[in-house]
Amino acid sequence: MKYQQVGSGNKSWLRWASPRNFDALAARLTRPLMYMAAVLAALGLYWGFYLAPADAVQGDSYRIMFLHVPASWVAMIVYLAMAFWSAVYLVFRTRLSAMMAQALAPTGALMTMLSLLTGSLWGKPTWGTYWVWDARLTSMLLLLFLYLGFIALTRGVSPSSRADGAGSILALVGAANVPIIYFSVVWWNTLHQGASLSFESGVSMHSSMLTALLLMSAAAWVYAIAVVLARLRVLILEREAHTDWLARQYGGPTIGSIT
Amino acid sequence: MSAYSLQELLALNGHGVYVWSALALCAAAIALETLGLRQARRRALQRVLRLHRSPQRSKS
Repeated sequence: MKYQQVGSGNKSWLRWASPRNFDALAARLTRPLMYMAAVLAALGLYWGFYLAPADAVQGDSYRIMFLHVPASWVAMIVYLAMAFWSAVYLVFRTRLSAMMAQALAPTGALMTMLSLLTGSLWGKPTWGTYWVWDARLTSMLLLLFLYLGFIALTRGVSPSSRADGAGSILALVGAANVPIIYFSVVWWNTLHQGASLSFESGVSMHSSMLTALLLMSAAAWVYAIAVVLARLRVLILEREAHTDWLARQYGGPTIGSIT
Repeated sequence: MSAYSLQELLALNGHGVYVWSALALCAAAIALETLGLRQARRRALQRVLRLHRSPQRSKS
């Protein structure tokens, strides 16, 4: 693996706004993060599917929670991160921020899809139905459409500066949906159960279930970070293809002589 | 702490179909995402190399 040595002269954190410097950092982080996610997931699965007892009410179907809850958390927070980087782009016009938002979107969409699918696989044995038009489920479906809309918009519009601007605004407007998802179980009388983990009422589950849930959540987080960094590197390759630094990095020593 | 036999683990008191298909879906999603990214990276790298007409191919 090659990466450019980052100059030691510039100490400011702003140097990470440069695609070149950030690419070097991401290159070093991706692989260790992937391994870490794998270890956390292995431990989480062992706890969740072997050590944790069956739920008193839901039986064994509740084990889907160990996949469903981390996927849902990541789906929501990735959207907030996307909105944050979109805001940064709109204020500072740093193109890496827009790329970061675009690198986050597919992983967020995938997590939302997994949240919906694992949720409906849990709903069938527990509620007796795969789907209901309940506030929590509907707002989560809206999140999926927001992600898909953002991806379609940023991929479909050219030039990329226009796509970045339009996508950023969509991401920011859509962010209003995230608190709606989160509080939907409180604001409306929904079929979806309330949070098992909250600041007000604390933890309402067996300690081995909590350990499994925390391990699986950590795994989902670390995986999401790793895969987003990897996608950001691909986006940098796609969008900075014409630059000299990429040419030097990947093109070999003779590049400079091309006229 | 609970101990399962393999049969019990697969059946999960009748909920096995749901639990294991949820797990399989997540595994498939992760496999698709990582493999897709690897392919996208290869394609993007090839384009960079083509753009700069490099005589030698380098691996990342």
